[in-house]
Amino acid sequence: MSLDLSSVEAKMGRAADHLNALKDQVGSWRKRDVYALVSHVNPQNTVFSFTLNILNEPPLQDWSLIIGDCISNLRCALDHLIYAIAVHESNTSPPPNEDALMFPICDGPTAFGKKGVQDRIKTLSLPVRTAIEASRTSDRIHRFRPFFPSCGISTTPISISCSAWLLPQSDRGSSTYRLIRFLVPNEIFIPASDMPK
Amino acid sequence: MKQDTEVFSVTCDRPTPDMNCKVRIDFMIALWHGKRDASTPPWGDRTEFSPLLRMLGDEVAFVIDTVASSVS
Repeated sequence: MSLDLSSVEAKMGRAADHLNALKDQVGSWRKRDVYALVSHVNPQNTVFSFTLNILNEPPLQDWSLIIGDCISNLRCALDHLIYAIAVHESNTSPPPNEDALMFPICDGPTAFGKKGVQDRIKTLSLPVRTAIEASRTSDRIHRFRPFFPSCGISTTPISISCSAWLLPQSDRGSSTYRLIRFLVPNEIFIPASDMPK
Repeated sequence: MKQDTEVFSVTCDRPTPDMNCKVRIDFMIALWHGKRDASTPPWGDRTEFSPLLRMLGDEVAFVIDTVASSVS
């Protein structure tokens, strides 16, 4: 029996759908007049400033939920992978140790060997467990430069680990119940004519 | 950012009634994720949503390919 990854691919596809939906929503929002700047000058003509006037509030809570769904599907894809392998190797469905099966994502290089982590994959074959350990995301560092590409501000790649994003809810502590935090976007040009006279 | 947040200011050491300057401000939709380590730049704890999620997806796809290929 070949390894059936159909549900894994379905989860990955759903994650992509969420990302595309978010891009569409953000794109639609950005096409509107979302912000204006209000200019200010003090009576002495020494301090000039601009404050933000929000014309269309970004639906941050909706976007936060979409992103949560996207990440959740990515996480589920890994769990579906483990389940599919367990079914394949045991040739039974449901597989042994069904309730404990989970892709172990460890928030640190030493955590993988802990019993609670190993119990998640103890019924899988040694080559699979070895591959999981070799590919575990906690040790993989990603370098990219997503910041302000149009301005060239970010010339130094940043490094992050994606492990924290994909940890199972039980391992995330209080952050489980927080909406994903956003910073706010847009691009505003202030022509010289708009400066206070 | 919130309504009436000050986003830019210039202070001159003498009255400058003819002040005229051109300003460009970029904002982005970014997700906060914490820093990898202390050497990360001050703004390195946030990333624009699209590349971040794409990176996560690529990472998961890589793991799936790696682990699935180990199955005999």
